[in-house]
Amino acid sequence: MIDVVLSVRQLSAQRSRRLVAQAVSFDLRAGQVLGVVGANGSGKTTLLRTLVGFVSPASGEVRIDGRLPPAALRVAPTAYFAGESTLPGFVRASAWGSLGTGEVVMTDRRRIRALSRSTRQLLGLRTALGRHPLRLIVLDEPWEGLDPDATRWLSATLEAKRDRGAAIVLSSHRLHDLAGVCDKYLFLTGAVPTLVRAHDLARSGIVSAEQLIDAFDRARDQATTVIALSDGRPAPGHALDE
Amino acid sequence: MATLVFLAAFFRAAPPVTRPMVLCLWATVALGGAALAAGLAGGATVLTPLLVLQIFAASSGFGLAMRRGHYDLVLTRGVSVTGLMGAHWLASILPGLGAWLAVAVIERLASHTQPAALTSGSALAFLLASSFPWALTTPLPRFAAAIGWLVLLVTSLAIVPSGQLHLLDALHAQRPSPLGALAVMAYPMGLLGTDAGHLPAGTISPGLACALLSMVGAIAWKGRAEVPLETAA
Repeated sequence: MIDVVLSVRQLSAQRSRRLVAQAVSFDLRAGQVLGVVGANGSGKTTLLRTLVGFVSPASGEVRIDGRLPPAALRVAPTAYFAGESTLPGFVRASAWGSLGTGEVVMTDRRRIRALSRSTRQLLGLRTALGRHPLRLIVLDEPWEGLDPDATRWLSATLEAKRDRGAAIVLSSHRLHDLAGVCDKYLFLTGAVPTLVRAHDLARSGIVSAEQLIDAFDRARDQATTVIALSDGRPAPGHALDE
Repeated sequence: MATLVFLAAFFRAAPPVTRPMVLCLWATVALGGAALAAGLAGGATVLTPLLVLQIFAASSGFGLAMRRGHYDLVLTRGVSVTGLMGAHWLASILPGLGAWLAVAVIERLASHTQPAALTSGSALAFLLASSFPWALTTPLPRFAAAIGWLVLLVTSLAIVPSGQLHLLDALHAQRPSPLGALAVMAYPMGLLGTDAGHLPAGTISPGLACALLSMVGAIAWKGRAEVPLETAA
């Protein structure tokens, strides 16, 4: 039986009445990783917040374990983190870290705003990922600001969570971060994002950074051509449905 | 139950009322308690600065923290925005409520009379100070409602002849008037230690209705609203 965790159908995400992604459809099974790639301002954050139900879709639907968010989040343990800037700076690091599982993930009693950027990012990630088990993990630019040790910790943690059956969605504007990590990639290059499978880019399914950059550039060129041909109006049917 | 425990832990770690504000509340209780015990002041006098502080404490700025993603951790637990707002309101008023009850206990022990903090007028003043400012700062930054109230109070005192006395007269008049209704909103300290049951319904109702409607309106509006990040593109 196919264990679909995240099911997205004809989803259009919007921010302030501006569509940032249209007609997105995909399924993400337990143990699969989706990389959302796009330039700054392309709508990655809005799309990810739509996936977890913080922002309502303009059209289409998202289901987590067959249920609509945010109600689905009560039964499907989910981790979401959108970066260290979302942490309240006045809170003590040790107190915030204990909110994941109740266990202490950081003994530092300084206020969050007094920590380095890397430590803040790590604190946020460790708190969000602290719950066991996790069904869905959605991380927005998780590598941003991390030092090498923290980067290794994040990679190892995500691998362990994936092996235990979590579905993972990661976004980044740096293609090197996502190369070799994901089973699928969603390129936010135009009004209609492009979905590609890792196996379509590399026979082994392990996509190198160069292959990912080439694929992203092709998707962007294609999107530019489509928009030019349709006189500025986004053309439908650009995404690959599964 | 697990959600309630998590909400309590969350707002203990990230309280909406700042630590300096809580210290101010308890310093006021300590000073006021000493004055009560020494017979230098009555309950209503001690409650006046507490009420002002409560207006500032309740102006806790829910919306801005929400838009900055501070509550993402709560929302990923499946807590509805409405439930989160209810918990935020409780966490915003609890420090002031604790200080209020402490004054009541001290007054009871010191004078063995009905504490001014527990009269219906005081309860109404506390409710107004705890609801309207919180609802107004749902879309506005922290303290915006309290600053707005200060502007309203100073303006009322400046434009009404003989200021405070005139507001008090209008508040306690047997016949309701627009000025009496304004006094409930602008000068709730006039209600401290009084029996609100003796005031005309036409004087109290507009303020009470505004406070309750503002709460319902804030929760209904924000409960359905999107939660985009301020930094999101």
